[in-house]
Amino acid sequence: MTRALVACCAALLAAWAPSASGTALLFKDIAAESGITFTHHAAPEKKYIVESMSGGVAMFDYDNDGLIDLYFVDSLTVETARNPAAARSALYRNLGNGKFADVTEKSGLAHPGWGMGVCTADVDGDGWEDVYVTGLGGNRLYHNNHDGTFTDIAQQAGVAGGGWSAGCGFADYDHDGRLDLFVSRYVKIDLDHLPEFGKDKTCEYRGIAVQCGPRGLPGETDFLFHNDGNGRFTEVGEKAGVSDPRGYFGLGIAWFDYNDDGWPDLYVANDATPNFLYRNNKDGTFKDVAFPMGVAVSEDGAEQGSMGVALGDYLNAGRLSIFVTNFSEEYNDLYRHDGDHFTDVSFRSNTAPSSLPYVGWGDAFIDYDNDGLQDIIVVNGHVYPQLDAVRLGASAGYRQRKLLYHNRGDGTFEEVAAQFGAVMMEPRVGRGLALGDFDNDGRLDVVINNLDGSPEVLHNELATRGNWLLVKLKGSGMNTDAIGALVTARAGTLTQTRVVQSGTGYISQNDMRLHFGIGAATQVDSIDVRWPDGTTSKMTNVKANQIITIKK
Amino acid sequence: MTARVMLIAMLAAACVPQPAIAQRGADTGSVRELLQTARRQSQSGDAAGALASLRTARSRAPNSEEVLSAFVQAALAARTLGPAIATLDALTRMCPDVAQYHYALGVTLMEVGDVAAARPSLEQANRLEPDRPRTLLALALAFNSSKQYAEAKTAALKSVELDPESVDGIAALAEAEAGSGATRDAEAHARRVLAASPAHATANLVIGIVLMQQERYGDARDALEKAVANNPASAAAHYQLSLAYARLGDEARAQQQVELYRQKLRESEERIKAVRAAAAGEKP
Repeated sequence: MTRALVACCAALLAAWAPSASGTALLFKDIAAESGITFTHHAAPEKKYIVESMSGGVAMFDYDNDGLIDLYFVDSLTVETARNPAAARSALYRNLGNGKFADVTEKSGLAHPGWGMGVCTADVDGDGWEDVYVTGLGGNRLYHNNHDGTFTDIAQQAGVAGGGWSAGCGFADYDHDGRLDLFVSRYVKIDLDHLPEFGKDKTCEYRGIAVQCGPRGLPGETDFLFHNDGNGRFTEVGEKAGVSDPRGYFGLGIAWFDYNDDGWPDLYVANDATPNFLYRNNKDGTFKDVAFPMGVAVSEDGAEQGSMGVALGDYLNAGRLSIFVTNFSEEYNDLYRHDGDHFTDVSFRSNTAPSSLPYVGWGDAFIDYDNDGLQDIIVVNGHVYPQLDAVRLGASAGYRQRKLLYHNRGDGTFEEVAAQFGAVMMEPRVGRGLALGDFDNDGRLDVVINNLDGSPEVLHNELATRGNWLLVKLKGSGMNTDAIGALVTARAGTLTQTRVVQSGTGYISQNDMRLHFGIGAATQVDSIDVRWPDGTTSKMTNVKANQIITIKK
Repeated sequence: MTARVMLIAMLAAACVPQPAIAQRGADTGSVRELLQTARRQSQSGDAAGALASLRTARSRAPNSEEVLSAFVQAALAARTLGPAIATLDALTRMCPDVAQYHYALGVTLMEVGDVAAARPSLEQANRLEPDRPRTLLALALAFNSSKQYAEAKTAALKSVELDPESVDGIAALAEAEAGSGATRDAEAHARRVLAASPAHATANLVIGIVLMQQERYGDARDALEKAVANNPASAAAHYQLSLAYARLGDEARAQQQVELYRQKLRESEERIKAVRAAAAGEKP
């Protein structure tokens, strides 16, 4: 008996033993060894705001081989603005053996121009993922040709937009069975008349000269493109009430049905201005209810510099709360979904204090240890390289570490990045973050696009983790991804809810398959799907540790 | 005695061993006369006249601590905060070891809402002269404004320990506790403040926030109405009040409070901008 107990404890201790470096291994950056050579470009001094905000990253299966591929968005600079070839976005095909192959040239996705963000969806319902890339001076809708190539059809589809687009996401907002597209836009920029670096008070930060904006610069309106079903879209933002006539500085977006009425609503993170929560009126129009719902500004009414938006059922309450990343010396917001409203619980949940020194961008709810509780990851990095020349109080420097919040299961979190070593603590200039499982081992991996540098491909190698289930939905009709579907999985006492999203975090795209960590449970007792059209499906007694596809 | 009156009263030339109006080339006689004139003008309630006299004195003796200190007092009395800030900034550089100038600069910056700029000055004042309750209180308020509630709580606790009867100190402590989620302590401290000072804006705001968290929206609305009545410039109070009305289903009043919140926010931004511009144009 005693020997058995000793052996058991020894095994437990071994499982939790720190690695040789003195920290536990969670993520390993396999970018270089897996063949990722992409480099993001931006002018070193970031004299103009347009050189600080890119870029997104997508995790999606472009060739339907069951493996998640990667797409990184690159940007131009003021100096290279007239030469689209100076920036090279990159598509990497997942070879399934820990390696990725650069298939960019063949794909035709190399040069979208001055790229910003990316979202994916099977826009035409042909069963193949298409790619939408936002940017400065027009967006691209790359139609998947089913043979590893894409064709830009943005102009003929009517979704090229213009100006400076940032976030994007598809959803069927009017229940006509076709995927529509929302695009947030940021600042009005004229490359021939750029605001002069350090020119006035809006181009100063704590007394040092920096890039101008967004405050002091005119903002852009946003777009809602209605899918007309004939390969064409019509811009209906104003008619629908989501055009943002005041020109707030739009960045990350998230479609989700916050009030559980079966119709997709829309959250938009705005930099330096209040955020929007557009409630779907079910008649083709929306109403901004962010203030009464408590998700427009911080708890003390401060307009924050919001960047990324993540949705998660971190309380396993069947409701999606909102996590928003913000500028330094503000704080990242955790808006808890309380049913008929949201409550800012950022400080009570203990997520806010550690975020104060950092400028947050990509974010995601991630159950990294499969314990059935959604944790949170955030990538950070400032916008002013000039910061490093001066000491600026509570703000961290230009390059910043990541934040990883472990869910304690009582509504609070513990910031644990330091436990997982250099990969989490090494300062970078993070921007887009995408979440998914690129090796189909049931552990969530993370891919990060860093401004003006190499990306990180973080393979989850946590040894001690729970069981899991990955759910891929196959929708009917034109919405084959089942974007907007809500899935609730029950395993023992755990009940978890996830939503299928196009457009996630900071101008990026997560793997659309839904991940459920289920701890020690060996099966999921039931899976309930509410499809985008309101119909439902149910599965019972599903074995753990597998990827399942549920067809409508 | 208001905070500003106390601030003015405590400001006196303190940067030893500099001589009073020692300025090579300065017409010390006429500067002395201007100081006396300003004093008379100030005593007779002519704050603008006093400020004008001292501005002239400052132009003649720009490195005189006595003149600059008198100028700050007159500027604060005349509520011309931009020039006061610019001059205090000069004094902190001229007399870097004098806590009162750092404190005065920090408090004045706080008054115009520029908390980010205020905090380093207050921290420096606290380093130079630790354990002064008013500095600790100002520091707690600055930390509360920048949401560094743990630091705010430490400063407020120390301030209250040194000055247990200070309702502002206890209110700052309550605010820090509410911010960091210690709602029971926050409520207890805020109620203690309200027992002594029922109209206290910060204490009413804290009670309002705590009651919102407890979903007692009617009671929260009542407390927040008091907070707004006693500090109409508080954007935070208007925002919380808008949430209370929204939870109570009163959309019209909720929207009205959102509009007021926006207005207060813009006014605060404009005030900071104006003061910064005035300070920039008033470098002594």
